[in-house]
Amino acid sequence: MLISKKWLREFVQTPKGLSDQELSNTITLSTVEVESFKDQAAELDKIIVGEVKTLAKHPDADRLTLCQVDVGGSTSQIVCGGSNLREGMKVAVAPPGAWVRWHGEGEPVELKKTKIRGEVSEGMICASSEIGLDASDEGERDILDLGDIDAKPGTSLAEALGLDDVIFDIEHKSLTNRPDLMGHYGMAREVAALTRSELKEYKPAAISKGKGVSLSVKIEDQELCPRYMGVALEGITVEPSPQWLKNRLTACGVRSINNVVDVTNLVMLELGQPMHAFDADVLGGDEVKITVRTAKKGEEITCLDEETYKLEKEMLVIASGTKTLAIAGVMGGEGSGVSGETTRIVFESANFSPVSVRKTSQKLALRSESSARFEKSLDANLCELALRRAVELMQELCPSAKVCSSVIDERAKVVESEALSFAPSLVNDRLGSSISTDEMQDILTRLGFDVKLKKDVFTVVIPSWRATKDVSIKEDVVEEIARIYGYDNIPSTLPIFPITPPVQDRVRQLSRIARRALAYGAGASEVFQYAFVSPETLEALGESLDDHLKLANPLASDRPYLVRSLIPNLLETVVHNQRTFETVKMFQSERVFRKDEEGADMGEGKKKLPRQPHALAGVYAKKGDVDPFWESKAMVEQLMGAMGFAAELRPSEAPEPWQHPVRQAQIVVNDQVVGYVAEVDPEKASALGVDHRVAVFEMNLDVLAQQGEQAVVYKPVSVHPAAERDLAFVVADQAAYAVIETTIRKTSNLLDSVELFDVYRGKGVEEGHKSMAVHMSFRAADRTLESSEVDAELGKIRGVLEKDFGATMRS
Amino acid sequence: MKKDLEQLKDDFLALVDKVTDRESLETLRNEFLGRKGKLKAAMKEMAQLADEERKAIGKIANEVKEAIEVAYGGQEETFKKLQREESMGKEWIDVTQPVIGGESRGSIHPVTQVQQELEDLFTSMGFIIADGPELESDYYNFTALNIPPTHPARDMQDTFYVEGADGVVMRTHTSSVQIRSMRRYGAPLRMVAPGRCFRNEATDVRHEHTFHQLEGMMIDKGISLSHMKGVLEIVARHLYGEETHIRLRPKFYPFVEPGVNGEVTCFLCKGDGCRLCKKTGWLEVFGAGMVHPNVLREGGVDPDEYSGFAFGFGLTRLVMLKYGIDDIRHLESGDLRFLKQF
Repeated sequence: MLISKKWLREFVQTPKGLSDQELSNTITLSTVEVESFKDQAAELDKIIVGEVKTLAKHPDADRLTLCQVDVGGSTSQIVCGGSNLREGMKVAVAPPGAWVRWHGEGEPVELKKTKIRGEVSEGMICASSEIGLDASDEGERDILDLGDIDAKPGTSLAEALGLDDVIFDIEHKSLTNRPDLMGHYGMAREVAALTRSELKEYKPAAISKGKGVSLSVKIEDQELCPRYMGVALEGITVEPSPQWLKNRLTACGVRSINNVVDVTNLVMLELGQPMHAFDADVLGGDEVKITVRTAKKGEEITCLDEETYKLEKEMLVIASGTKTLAIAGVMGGEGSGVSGETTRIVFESANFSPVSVRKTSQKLALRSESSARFEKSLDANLCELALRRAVELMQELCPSAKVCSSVIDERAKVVESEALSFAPSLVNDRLGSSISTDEMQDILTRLGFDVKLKKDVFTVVIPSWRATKDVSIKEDVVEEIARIYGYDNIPSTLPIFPITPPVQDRVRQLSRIARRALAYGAGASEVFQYAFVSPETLEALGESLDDHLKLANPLASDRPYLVRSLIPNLLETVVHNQRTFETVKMFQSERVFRKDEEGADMGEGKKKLPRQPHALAGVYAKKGDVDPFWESKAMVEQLMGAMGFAAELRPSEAPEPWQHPVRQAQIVVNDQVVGYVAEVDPEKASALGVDHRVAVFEMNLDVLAQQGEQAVVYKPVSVHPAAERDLAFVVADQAAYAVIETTIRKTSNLLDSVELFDVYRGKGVEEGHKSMAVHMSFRAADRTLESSEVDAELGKIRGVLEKDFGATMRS
Repeated sequence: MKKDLEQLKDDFLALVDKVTDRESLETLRNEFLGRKGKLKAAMKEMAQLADEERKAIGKIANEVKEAIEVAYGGQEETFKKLQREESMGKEWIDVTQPVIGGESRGSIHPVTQVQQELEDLFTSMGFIIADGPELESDYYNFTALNIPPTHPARDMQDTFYVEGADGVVMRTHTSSVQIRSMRRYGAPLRMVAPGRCFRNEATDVRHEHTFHQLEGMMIDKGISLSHMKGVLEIVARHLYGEETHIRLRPKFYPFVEPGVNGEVTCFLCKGDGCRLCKKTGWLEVFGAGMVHPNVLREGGVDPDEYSGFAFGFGLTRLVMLKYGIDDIRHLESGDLRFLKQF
């Protein structure tokens, strides 16, 4: 929101010597952020008014003109390309030393006396955009035509245009709770309180009623419209506004339309109260009956933005007879506003329910300066001030204007806000400060609060302009004192707490260990990926879309689904990285979303949120590696070791649709499935665009966190030596090593360890078979084993392998 | 005789220095000291001498033998050393050569790193690390935080909704964990809740619909805004060094009263004003305030008995400031060229 310093100073005289920067800081530190401020005159520094005396063609350029320009006391030759140049024209001249933006673009540059195609040019005749002015009325090759401006050549342009203002840009979103600051008078009131300056009373003259138009207003629902004021004026001539008014609006970013509309806008920018002006003759002429009612089914209105809106039944409209005049508080209708022929007007100054205006403007996707103010809860007292000010201004701009109706004021019963009572000690308790009662009282009084101190209790009456929503409880008053006293003046202290070890979150701990193990042990990189996934990716993997939660309003319509596994997006990320990296090894630890499972409570009601377990997933692909399963399994083993779990892999009977049917396994801890490790079905991987074989793993950390860690069982270190034996044998390809090892272990209780050290397929081994070699170590706790004992054990093992697995011994 | 022996010594000493390899050294030694060597031969002559004289000559012979042995030993040592140098030299390897086929180090996401650093700081001060769902109820995300459905503050955060799931939103801030934590742990409470948040905003260099925050909350009897300043100052100094100060200025958040925006001394210019801080000397990094009584009530905490403060850091912003990351989109991109740098 833009605030004009000149305008502000009509209501408050800030202390002498307070710079714009200081004022800006004060407002920022105590009220609301001033994003920037702009000194109009500084932007037009050195730019002056010039008068074109004579024009001549440039001898060496078709589109350039040699202009002799009176720049006040002397004549300068300026080469100019403006297509609208004429003799006697008043123009904006940037002499050498002034700063301009070439063609309105880029950073400002300093002008120098120069030669253009051989002709001397002492400065530049400027287009509006080149000196930061509104260029909307100018043609592409036009220069700024100052018209019949009453200023002698040589006058500073800023002075000539009345552009000697400083404009403060207030951060708009932060005003959500301060509708009172959405106008210059409110801002002036705040500045007066901040700088201990005097605030000028705002009192436009009361309106004396007139005759000619019988005006009446009927409010059907006073909850939606707590107050509606109106008055009719006649003798209006609709015409352009005077320059000062245009300047004021432009300074605040509002376009000048005509004197009547400009008056309503000026009042809005001054008081924060939106107004509207109707053409009285469109509304019924001598008898105007206004109804404030909710819309009828199927009702439509074409607004000032030339769009037609379909209204719903809870939306509030202003109507007259059968005509729908406006969407209350949002925007006026096309046909009922002020036009060139208008001579009689009705001013509307009303108060509408913030909730209603907000809902309506949201549903219609129609925001306006008016709706933005109403939805923040406006003080109903503003209606009257605004109406008076509008009438006063209208008569000032158009002396023939005359009130021609009585002043209508329909309003709901006024509910006075209750005074707040609290002990002054509350303030220092909450702030940890030592502000004196006197100072508190002083601050509140400056802000317009009525404060009484009696028996150590404050009784605080909230001013009407703060009572609409912002200040309603004692904590709100504490904030008022704190911000004016200054947060910088409140000391920093540290609270004292008993020593209590914080509750630990096992999932978080596991995820932390996993990240370190995967990154610094397995050499994988942690990636962050969106929670959203595309239907194409899911379908390519054979996933059912119905299993996935879907956003109602996705930002990118190509990714509307919430992930229920981290794998699909990880595979997409492999595709993005495989061009740059031969080896892609990544992991992610994040929540996933399960549509069909119940999770956390929703805080109220019995329904539950969808379950969102913490998943941990990894992916590996390497150019030329056709068995990526092993690396993926190695990652899982490293991970499990780091987290302290004993895990085993079991091929799943029902693998996921995208998994390689025979290169997949469940990860099992304590007989509980906690995840899987698998190669991706090569066809599906390549459908996604993955160039190489790719393997993944994924675990549910919530389930894993419930599992006991592998307990360490200590055995005394044996003093007796171990006997080592190797055994090589051939078995069918499908024989699972895990089962073989378990069998071997069960067969001999002298076996200390067994370790697979070679698997071979090929020459010398029958097709469909593999040769395996294990290294075994035998040991007894109480004696050194005899060679014959060990050989007997080995014989037993051979026998079992032959019997259970049809093994053929190779050694 | 004596003279012969002395001569023998001198001969050896002269020859030993000229020997160039170990083999010749051994031959030379045998020539002098071997069983058929010159010394043995000279000793044979000794037998014919008278007792007295034989003793004297024997002593000299021993001295000569010893001298030859020492000279031999010295030379042998030299050769051993040379030989070792030669053979070790052949074992030279290029120690600067990378381990071929060795596992390269992976990386942990910068947001995770900064988050864990802060988690450690807060747990060291007795804070619980709390967690909450990302797909959250409207109640926890808005209503319970004093943001009723009609409140304009909802406009401050564009929200993702889920089809067919009434009252469910993608959480727009980690503040949703406030009520959950109060209900779960009660008062007094010290907690932080880092996590992922979502806002329905178009993505560009400075905006991401998915980003990370770290929420914090402290509730007890007598907790004041002064305590909030103290705790947040610790955080700021932990992040940016001992000289860092914080500055609070009013900012409206419906769930706190008073509500503030928190700025820290710009770490780049130390407060002098630079491009990073837009010439202000301050960087805005958190929002905070005293917990609104309505919020305490929703959390089951009596606002007449307890008070507290809450704060929220933009983790994503902290990370971008820390590393000078120019484009927020890198963080969620999964681009290894970006990630492997951390």
